[in-house]
Amino acid sequence: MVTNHSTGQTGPGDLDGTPVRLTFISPQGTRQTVPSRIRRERRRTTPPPLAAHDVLLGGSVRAVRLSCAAAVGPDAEGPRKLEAEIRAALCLHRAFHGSAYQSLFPSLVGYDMDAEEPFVLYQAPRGDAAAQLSYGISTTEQRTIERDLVLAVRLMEGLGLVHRGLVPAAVRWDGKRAQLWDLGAVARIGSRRVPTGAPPYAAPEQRHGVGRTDARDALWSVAQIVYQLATGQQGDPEGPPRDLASYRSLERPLGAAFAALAEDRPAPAEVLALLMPGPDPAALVEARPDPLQPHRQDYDRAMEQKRRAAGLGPYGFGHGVESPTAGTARTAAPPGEARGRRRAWFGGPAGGRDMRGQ
Amino acid sequence: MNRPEHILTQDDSPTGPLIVLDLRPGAEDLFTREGLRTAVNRQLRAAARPEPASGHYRFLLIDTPDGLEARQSVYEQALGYGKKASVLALAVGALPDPQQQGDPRPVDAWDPLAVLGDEPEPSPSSGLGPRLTRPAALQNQDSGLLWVGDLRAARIADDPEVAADDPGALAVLVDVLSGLFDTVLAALSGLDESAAVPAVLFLEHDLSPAARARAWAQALQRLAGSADLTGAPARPELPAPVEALLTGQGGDADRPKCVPGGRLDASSRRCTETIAALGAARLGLRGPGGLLEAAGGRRAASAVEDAAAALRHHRAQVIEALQHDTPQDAAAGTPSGPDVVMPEYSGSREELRGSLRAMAESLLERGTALRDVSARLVALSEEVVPASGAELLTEAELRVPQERFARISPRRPFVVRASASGTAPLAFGAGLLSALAPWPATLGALTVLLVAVGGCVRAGLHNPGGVGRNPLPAALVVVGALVPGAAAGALLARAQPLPAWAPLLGLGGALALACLLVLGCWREAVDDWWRRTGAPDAAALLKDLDRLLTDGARRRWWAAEHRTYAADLARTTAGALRAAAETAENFAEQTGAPQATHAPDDGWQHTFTPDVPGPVNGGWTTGEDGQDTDSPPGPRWLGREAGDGGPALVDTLRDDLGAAVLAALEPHWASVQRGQGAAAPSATVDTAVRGIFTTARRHLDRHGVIAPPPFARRRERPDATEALLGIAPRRPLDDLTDAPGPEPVELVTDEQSALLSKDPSRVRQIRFAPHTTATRTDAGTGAAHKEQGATALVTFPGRYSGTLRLMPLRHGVIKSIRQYADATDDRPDGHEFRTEDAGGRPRRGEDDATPW
Repeated sequence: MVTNHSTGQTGPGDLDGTPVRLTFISPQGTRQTVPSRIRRERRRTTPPPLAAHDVLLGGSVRAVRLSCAAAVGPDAEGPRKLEAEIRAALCLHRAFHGSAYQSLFPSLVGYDMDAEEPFVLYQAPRGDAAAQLSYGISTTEQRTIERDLVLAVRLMEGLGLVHRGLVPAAVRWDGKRAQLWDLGAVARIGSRRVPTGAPPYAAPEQRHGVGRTDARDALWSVAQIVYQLATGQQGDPEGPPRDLASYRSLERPLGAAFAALAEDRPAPAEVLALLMPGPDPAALVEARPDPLQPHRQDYDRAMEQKRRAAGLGPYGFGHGVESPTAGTARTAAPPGEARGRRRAWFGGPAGGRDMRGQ
Repeated sequence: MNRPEHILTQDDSPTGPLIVLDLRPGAEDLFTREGLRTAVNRQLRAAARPEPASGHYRFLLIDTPDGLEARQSVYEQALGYGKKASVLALAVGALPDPQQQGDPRPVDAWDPLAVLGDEPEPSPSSGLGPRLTRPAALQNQDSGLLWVGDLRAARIADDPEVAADDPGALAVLVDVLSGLFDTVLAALSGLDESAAVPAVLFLEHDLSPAARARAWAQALQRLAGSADLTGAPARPELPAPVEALLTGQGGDADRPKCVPGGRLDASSRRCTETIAALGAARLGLRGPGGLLEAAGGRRAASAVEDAAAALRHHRAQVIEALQHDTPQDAAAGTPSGPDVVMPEYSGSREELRGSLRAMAESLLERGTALRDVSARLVALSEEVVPASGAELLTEAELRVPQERFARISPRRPFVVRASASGTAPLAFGAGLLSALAPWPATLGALTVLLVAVGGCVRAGLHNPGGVGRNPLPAALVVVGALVPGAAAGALLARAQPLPAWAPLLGLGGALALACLLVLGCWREAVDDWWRRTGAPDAAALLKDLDRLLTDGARRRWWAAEHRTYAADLARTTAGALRAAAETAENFAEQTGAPQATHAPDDGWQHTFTPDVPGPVNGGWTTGEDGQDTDSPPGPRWLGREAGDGGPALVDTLRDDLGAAVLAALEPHWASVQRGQGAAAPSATVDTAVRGIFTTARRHLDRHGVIAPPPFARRRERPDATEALLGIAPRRPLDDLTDAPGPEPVELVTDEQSALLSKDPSRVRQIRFAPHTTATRTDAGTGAAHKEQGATALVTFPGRYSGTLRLMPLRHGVIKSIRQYADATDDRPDGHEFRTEDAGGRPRRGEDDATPW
């Protein structure tokens, strides 16, 4: 089964089919070394500047390695994107690994930011990109994809995250469930919007880079993707498509998500309540006990004591995913909010509860 | 690879397609029956044609005169192919030199009668002139032989140097022979030896390459339609079975029903009961009993409470039920199903598929663009698809929102009001009547006052909903009207002596009035409170809920399986048509070989450098990608008329391409029949569409626009050639007139022409013109030419018109040989054979055609 492709390989040490010993850090934090083979490049798994390669881990596990070529300069986009990807992947892994929602996101195998060519390893993607589906998707499939996408948006919102790069290519579909890729485009909710994304999938505000990111940005993308799947044509990049009213299956749950401004769109939880009646899954995930809670509290207490002893103000975190000016954001963000965000960012429950606890 | 060129040409004959095999490059693979079958099947497959149902195969075999002998087993294989086979052999090239034919010539092979004619000696010296050796099998009724010595006949000096078997000229001849296959065979059967040399004069009328390319691109674009449809697609006219799917069969039996005893039925029944109880409770409360005893108020309040609870419960039940995917839980015995019985749907999937297919095909045949049809199909799918739970949930929020239910509650203020206009006159009257008695009996008025005010206060204190309002304002109004009334009564009594019975009667009347007043206030207060509780809406709410259930059940579950099927079918068809539209645009954009489909924009398109796909079809030759750009001067016997396209050209091509798409959709409908998933068929259809567009283009390049392509549904072309080609139709007509003009050219060299029979009565002539010309009704054998043999006047399914004359060969030029196989032909090793001269062949020619 193991075949070695000597063409198109970029992996170091992959000479004449000799297995590479790939060393990476597992999501649990342990360092592992696995004999593996890096195979040919895999197109359209991740957008540039990252590149994806098929990897055979230990001779049996099919994985995909996203890496960026060596950074050209300190501001190179590749490493930053990869870092954001790893952060989001870790966050999602910690929140949903072992839960029913695990399959909505790429399954993290490991990562290494210190390698010569930093990389992150996922299990191989499931199914095909949804871009192929606009040639005849069944109504049942459309509804499942719609539900999965809104669910993923809601779950990420629960963690304080928003996916800014939802496009048909980033959505994979295996006939049963959708899977969201391109986690490098995930940002923290409330961070400053930078102009990014392609019309019509990116919301107008996001493309113009005005205001702060909102979970409802992703809802716009979901609406556009589902519109394209159902109708086979791209939607209006500036607002609701003109013929929306003639697509009953689109109009009812997602019609309001086409609003040009984020505040006019319904909250993901509201849409999800229609698509998936029952308790809000993100709330359920949030309500799980956090095993690290005592340690976090110890850490916070220790930090507070040190800062008080040093005569400094309360500590705040404001690391933006993409913003190089995180230092200024740090002082701007209210301390309580920032603390909550940080927890959410690293996989703990979202901010609200913690803030009440202070 | 010197593989023979095998072409399958199309014709109109019901006997099936014509298989053209070029044996000149060797054709070793055709020597066995299996090899021939493979070649035939390959051609049929490439042309997307079925095997002929009649089992009649027609072969046009191109060979060299040498090959006739060397490959005679191929001819025998072909003649034995299928139930019946017609074979026309076309031998191209000079006859072999007799000196090199080593076989000793049997004496009786030479026809001594031949030299008795007025024809010159066929051979230079020994009487062993060049001879055409042919398999004896080619002599029978269903076969014939044409020999072309030199395709360059009638060259003039500055003609380009071409070989005697110039492929371009040969292609023209093969095209014409393909179109006239049956006519030529029939004409040959009337000749000696079933063999002849063609003399030809053709006129090709076709589009210029530029016009062809332009019309092709325009037709493709018209077929695809505009990418951005303005506005919503037109509401599709639904085919009858789909319409029935939406509306149901009608009638009462068609309504969804709750299962008796089920949860929905129980909650609905409970609602009905509580609503009925509401009416009774209200009546009880309004009466004087309700005023006097507190229980009435409590009963009414609890009735409202019950009704509200029952309705809320029913709403929850209905909404919960509508979230289920099926009206009844399939798992037997589980009580979780929504307990709704849907009427049976009597239609079938086949019916739906057939109607959708008919709709799509009729739209396409009417000239609707692919994208437009696709949009209509998507709209149809949206109409038909069963409503989702989310959709009904949204609708429930709109039609029966929670607030309407929250409005039904007994906890509403109970206000006793006394109005100045309604109550005050009554109170005044009561006061007046009560104080008519002389003092101190006037104090009896206090009783009336007590009754009126007490009644009002009592009514106000009743407070069935628990939210009371102060009754004193009402009491004050009553007092305020009653006291002046009493004063007025007292004054009246004092001023005017009254009969003795009057005070008593007045007091009684006053009491009655006071009671009336109190009761009026009470009723008014009860009615007012009742309105505030929202109880009168309960029945309407129940009706709305039931309607929601009925509508929702119908939209969600009525024939859900079939509706999903129809919706998905419409969608996959729409997807396939969209893909076909993209392919069409792709073909229209490419000037040369079509590239692989460009991927749809998936959001990452701009970030990647475009893929560089290879050409999808290596066998692609278009009129504009190379040697055809400026059409080479054809042989002298071929005139060319190139038009720039007429008004009907693009439409005709578009119709052809529409038919091509319909043909390519065949596997789609078939796979839908087999119930495959959505993705696979669209890929199949895409491949099929590419293949058939390539075929269409090849057909256009090869046969011109006048011949309908194999997949065309309408075999008729517009009657005016001018409308298609832009050339006046006069020319093809002229070709059919008997006016003296250039004579057909014999396709032999001057030396070879000595081998031709010079007897004009044995010549057969076929005149033909495209069947778009007006002479098509004259098809058939025309009147015999004055000094020539019969002239057949036929229509031609292609772009040529002209004259094909069949010149018989002199006696003795043709030699038949027969092959004796040692083993049966089925055996692959079975072609060890020897040939021998078929000396004892029947002299058919002498029997019927010799003039003396």
